[in-house]
Amino acid sequence: MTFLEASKILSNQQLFQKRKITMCMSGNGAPLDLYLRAHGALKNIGLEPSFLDFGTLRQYLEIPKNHEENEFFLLFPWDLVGCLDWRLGIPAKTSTLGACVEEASTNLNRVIERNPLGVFYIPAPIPPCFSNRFDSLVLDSELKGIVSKNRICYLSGNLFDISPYLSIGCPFSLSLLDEVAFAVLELISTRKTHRKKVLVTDLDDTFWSGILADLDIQGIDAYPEASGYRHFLYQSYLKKLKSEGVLIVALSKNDPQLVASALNAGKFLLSGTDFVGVWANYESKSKNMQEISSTLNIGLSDFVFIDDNPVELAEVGAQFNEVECLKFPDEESGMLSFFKILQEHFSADLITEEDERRTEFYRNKSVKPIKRDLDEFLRELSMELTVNDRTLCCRERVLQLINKTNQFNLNGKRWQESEIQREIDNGARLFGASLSDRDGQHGEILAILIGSNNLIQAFVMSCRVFQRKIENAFILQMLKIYSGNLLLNARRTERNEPFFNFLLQHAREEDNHFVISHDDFVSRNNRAAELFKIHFNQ
Amino acid sequence: MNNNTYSTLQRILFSILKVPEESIADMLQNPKGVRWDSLTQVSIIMAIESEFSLKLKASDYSRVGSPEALVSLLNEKGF
Repeated sequence: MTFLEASKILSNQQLFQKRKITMCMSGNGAPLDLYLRAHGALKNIGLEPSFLDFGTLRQYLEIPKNHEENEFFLLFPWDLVGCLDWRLGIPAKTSTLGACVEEASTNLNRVIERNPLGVFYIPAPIPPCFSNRFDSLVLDSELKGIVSKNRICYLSGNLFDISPYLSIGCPFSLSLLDEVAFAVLELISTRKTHRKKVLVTDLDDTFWSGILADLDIQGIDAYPEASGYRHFLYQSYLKKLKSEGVLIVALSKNDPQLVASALNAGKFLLSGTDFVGVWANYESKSKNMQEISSTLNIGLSDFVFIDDNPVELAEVGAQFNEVECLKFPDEESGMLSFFKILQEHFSADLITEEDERRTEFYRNKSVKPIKRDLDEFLRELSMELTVNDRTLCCRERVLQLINKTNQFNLNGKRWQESEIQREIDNGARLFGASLSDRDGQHGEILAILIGSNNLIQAFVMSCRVFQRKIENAFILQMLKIYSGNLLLNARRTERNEPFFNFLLQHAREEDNHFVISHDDFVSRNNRAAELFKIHFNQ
Repeated sequence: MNNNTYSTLQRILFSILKVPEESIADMLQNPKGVRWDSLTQVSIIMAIESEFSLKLKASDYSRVGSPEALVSLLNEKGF
C-alpha cells in the first residue's frame, strides 16, 4: 500500500466502529498513523491510534494502566536494555551481560503485566557496547530468547533503519511502514478475548466422508488418503481440541443406534467417548442446539457449529446468531483457511490439567450430557403387543375404535356391523391389537380391516398410544401374514393428519391407493418390532 | 520535472497539507518563503519514499523543508 493509496482509503472511509489504541513505543511513531488507520479501514475498524511523546516509554510504564485502555507495544532492543539506544551514543562502560539480561526480563515483565492488546519485538543491530564482540551476539540471542519465552511475536524483515531513527526519531524504515501497520492490524483483528468452549460437529460428509444411512459403517471413512483426507485432518484437530479442554459434540440427522455403532467401530481417531454428547435424531438442528446448550449449561455464544450443509448452517444461524456457524470445506484447498478460523476461535494461552479432563468431567456429571433417544425410552417401557384376530367374534371394541377414532384413521369411514360382515364374507379379516406396558394395560388400541387382495379398508389407532411405533410394529406383523405389498384405501379428512404423516413416510401413492412396499417397510422398520414382545391371539 | 512527477507531488501535498488544489499548484510554481514544520516534513519524506520508491539518505531529509527544496531534490534524483 503506497502513501496515496492509504490516503485514498481513508478519504473513502465509511463510518466504522471507532477503536482507540495507544501505540507504545519509545521512538517517533507518528509516521505509522496513516498506515495504521488505512489498514484498520480495510478491516472495517475505525482505528484511532495515539502515540506516546518521543522517548517517554519508560515513564509511561510507571503509570498504572487505565483499565479501559487498549495498548499496543512496539519494542526495540533499547526498550529492554537502556544502554542499547543508538541515539544516546555508545556508553563508555556497560553493565555485565548477566545484568543486561536481567534488565531485559524486568522491563519486558512490566509490559506483559499490563495485559496489552499486542506486543511486537523488532530486532535491531546492537551498538558495540561490549568490549567482547561476542557478548553483543549473545545478548542479541538472549533478548530473542526472553521474547520467545513470553510468546511475543517478532517483526522480522529488517524493519529498523538507523537513518530516520537518528534524523527524525522514527526507528522504522519509512518505506516499510505499510508492512508494520499491516502486521499490527493482523494481530489486533485476530486476537480473540473470548475462547469458545463447545464445537458441535455434523457427522455425514463432515466428521467422516460419506452418508452413513446410505453407505453403512463400511462405506464411510476418514482415512489419510483420497476423499477421506480432509476428514482425517479434521478429526485429528478435534482430538487435539478435546485434549485442550474443548467440548466436542456430534449433531447428526441420523439413526442414533447406527451413529453409536459407527463411532465405536474403531475406524476413526475419535470414538464415542471422546464426545461429550452425541445428538442423533431427526429433529431440527437448531432445536438440538438449544438442548445441547441447556444440557451442558453453556451459552450459545460459546458454540462453534460445523456442517457441510449450508441449509443446516443457515437454519441454526437464523435461530441463534450468537452461534458461530462454519461450513466444512468441500475441497482440500479450503482446509487451510478453515483451520486458521478454528484456531482463532479456540486459541488458548495455557492448557491446564483441568482442561485435559474437561470432557470426562462433563460426561460424569449427574446432569446427563448424552441424549437418550426415543427407542431407548420405549424399550424401557417393556411394551407387549397382542395381535387379536377379531374376524369371527368379539368385534365390539374394534368396531367402536373404527367408528370413534379420528386422528389416526385411514379414511374416516364409519362402518356398520353388517358392512364389516359383508367384507368378511368376501374374504376380509378384522384384527385388533392390545397393548400393555410396565405401567399396566391399555386395552385394545388398534383395529384394521384387510381384504384378501391385501387392500386395507379400515385402519385406526387410539391417540393415547401415539409415538410408540405401535403402528410400525403392527404392520410388520401384517406383512408376515399377507405376502406382497399392502394397499391402503386412504382418504384425507379434516382430522386425520397424523395418519397421513405415517402414510407419507411409509407408503407411496399409486393409481387410487397408497402402497406399502413389503420389502421396503420391513427393512426400514425392523427395529420397531424389537421394542415389543409380540403375542398372537387367534 | 516530468508531468507524472508533478501530478504525484501535487497529490501528495494535497493529501498532507489539506489545502485547496489551486494553492498547491501556486505553492509549487511560486515556492519562495514557504517552509514546513517537522511533522509535515516527516509525512512528505514518507510519501516521497513510498510513491517514488526512493530511499532518501539522512542528509536528504533536511531538503524536504520547503517546496523549493523538494522540487530541487526530486529533479536531482531524476524525476
